[in-house]
Amino acid sequence: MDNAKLLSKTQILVDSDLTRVPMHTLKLVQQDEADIQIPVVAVAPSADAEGATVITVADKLDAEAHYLLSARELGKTWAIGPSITTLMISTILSAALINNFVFTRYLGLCVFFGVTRKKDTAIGMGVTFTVVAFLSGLISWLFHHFALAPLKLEFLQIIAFIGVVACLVQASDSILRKIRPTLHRKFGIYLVLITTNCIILAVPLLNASKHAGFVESISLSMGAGLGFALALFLMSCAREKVELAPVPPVFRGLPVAFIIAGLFALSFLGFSGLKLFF
Amino acid sequence: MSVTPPTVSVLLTRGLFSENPVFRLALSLCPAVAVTTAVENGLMLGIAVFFVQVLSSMTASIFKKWINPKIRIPVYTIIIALWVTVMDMLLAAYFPSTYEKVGLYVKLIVAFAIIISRMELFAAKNPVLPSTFDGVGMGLGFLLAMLLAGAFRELLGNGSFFGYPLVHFQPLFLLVLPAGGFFTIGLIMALFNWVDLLRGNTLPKASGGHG
Amino acid sequence: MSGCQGCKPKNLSPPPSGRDLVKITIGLTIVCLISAALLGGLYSFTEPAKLRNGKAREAATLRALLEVPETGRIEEIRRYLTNDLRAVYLTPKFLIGLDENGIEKTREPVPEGLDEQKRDEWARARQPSRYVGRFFVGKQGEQVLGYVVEGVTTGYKAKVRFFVAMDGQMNLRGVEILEHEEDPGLGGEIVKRYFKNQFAGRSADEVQGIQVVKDPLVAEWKAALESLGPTPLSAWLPQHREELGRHKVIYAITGSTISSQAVTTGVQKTIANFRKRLELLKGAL
Repeated sequence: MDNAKLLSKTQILVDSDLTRVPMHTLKLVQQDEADIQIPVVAVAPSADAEGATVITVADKLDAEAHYLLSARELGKTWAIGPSITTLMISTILSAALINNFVFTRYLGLCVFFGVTRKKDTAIGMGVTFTVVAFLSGLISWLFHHFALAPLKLEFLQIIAFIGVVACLVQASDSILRKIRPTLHRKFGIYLVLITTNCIILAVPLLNASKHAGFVESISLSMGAGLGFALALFLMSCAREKVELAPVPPVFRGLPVAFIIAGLFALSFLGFSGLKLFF
Repeated sequence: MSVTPPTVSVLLTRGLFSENPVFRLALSLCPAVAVTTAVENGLMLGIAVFFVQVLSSMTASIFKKWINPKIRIPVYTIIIALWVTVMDMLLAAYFPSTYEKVGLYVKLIVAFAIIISRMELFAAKNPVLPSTFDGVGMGLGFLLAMLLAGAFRELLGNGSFFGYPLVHFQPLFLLVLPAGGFFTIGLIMALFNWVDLLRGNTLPKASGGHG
Repeated sequence: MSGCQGCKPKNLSPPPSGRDLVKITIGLTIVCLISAALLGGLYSFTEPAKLRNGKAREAATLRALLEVPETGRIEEIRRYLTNDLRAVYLTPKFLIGLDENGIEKTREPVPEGLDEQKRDEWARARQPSRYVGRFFVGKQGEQVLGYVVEGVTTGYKAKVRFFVAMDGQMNLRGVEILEHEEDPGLGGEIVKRYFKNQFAGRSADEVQGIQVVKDPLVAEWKAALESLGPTPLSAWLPQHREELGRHKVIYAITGSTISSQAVTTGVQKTIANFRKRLELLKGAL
């Protein structure tokens, strides 16, 4: 099956010449509503691409939905919808910015406040976390998809996922200790702290509850890690400066850190409307 | 740790103020910010955490002789995960509307530092009854924190309390948003510090939770 | 406030010996098995209760939307899609397969006494397909009181699931939001009466072309909308028909135009698709 592209809300670009095909033999349906045809209104040769055709339809098409276009006479079908890379990028951006796990979903705060007093610790944790989040998201998805779901053992999710994380952290700790002791001295402490980081459990739980596919799951894991690392870095920059500022005694330490976090959260609200599609 | 366990009244009350898990020990902050948009949500989650805390501390204390020290952290984690899943199932079955709002956070109780730290610091070394009381004290402290934050945000942010509108406008809507949660916790923490100052205690040096 | 009170203590002890490893493994396995057994036992109790409560709440919502009397009933019709894109419908009595042109091709009686899950499995075994949607019919005797169609749309943040209720003449009875992940106070307001009730009482054709505007919602209309719910539609409509005619738009939620538009578009699409399908199914129901 070939792919066709959405040009606008009502137009599709197909890379074959369909101008000779009678319009009523062209069938466009939305994947889950395939028993209902979307009326094709016009077929015209593309002005930009050679040998390509622009199909205009009556209804407004959704850039995030999947459609199928078939031309019976030519015996060909085209799939229209967001590509895998678009899905990946939009999921990563969503998890990192729009639904940032710290500033929008308020997860991982315990570690967040602990580690952001200095830039170095923040960066160290950020890097370690992204790696662990990605791996644990990946393994948890495999475990859920191939073991828990088929055996209808979903109620063991919580134990299973935290188990995966614990094992992964333990394994990483041992491996890192043997292979790269210097790295281990630097990042080892963060590994241990990751197990009490809410985000590391939230990611596989979210994936499982959404019945996310493989690509979506690893994109979410990566986005969560990157978003967390970003939040850590920003916060540590701010806090390092505030340490030197005259803060009232009752606010010194955590209270002012929370206020700073609140300000960051406000600014991240600005990402809310970010959409990749038209 | 102390040779004689602290008295029952100390166990039960220190979690409320002097060692309040959220505002003084800075543990389990995620739900404090996330779920306190309304008193009702905070209350339900606080109750859930209360039960998990008490039951986990109890279980850890009962079985402390059988738990091999080398695997105590994984075993504690499994105990907590067990009770959390129980809580999760019960909520989902019998309190569905609450479960819709706090569901994800109930599942995350497993990662709450407070529960595992109480097990490690207290329940593992003390007899069952004091451990239970310690769990009760900490659980109550957490519940209090949730109620305080929830009341603050709902009253000032939404003009209501427990869903009942007290004023017919939203005074400071910002407080209902995520950012407001952060502000609320920061302010209440400062408040606790201030009360501490008034009582004549010196403030702890600028700390960062897990330092 | 001492630091690091929640940290796991760093493991400074030497790695465990062979015998220790065996003891550890056995210990952990036993703990895991006991936990899993306990959870499994509890699950067998709570899962049926959870499903039952879910069903009960759903039934209550449907009955309220269609004002089904005690003597009436609600029937669920599930829609499936085969691999070659043909529609299959599972009604309480029959499994009906349509061909590509929507003409009825096969009709099989459903075996008696199967529970919901088994019916679903049976249907998908008889006609290899996947479940894609459903709607409900409210009936009293053989008379159709109305339809409730389940729809999905993409909101500001994630998917929004909802019910659209219509009577036999394709006039809307109401919209009920089932699931959403919108922000509380902003997109989350779609569940409030002053928004979702704006669809009730209008004809399907009117809703098809209705616009979402950013104009403010006047206080009297808002109060009228809030009263629908406690007052059933049959009593509310005669009182407010004239007012409904004066407000021929959907007033968006302040600060949430996208969510408001998403729900409106979703309702429009759901109605349009349902009407096309109902034409083909009229006889079968």
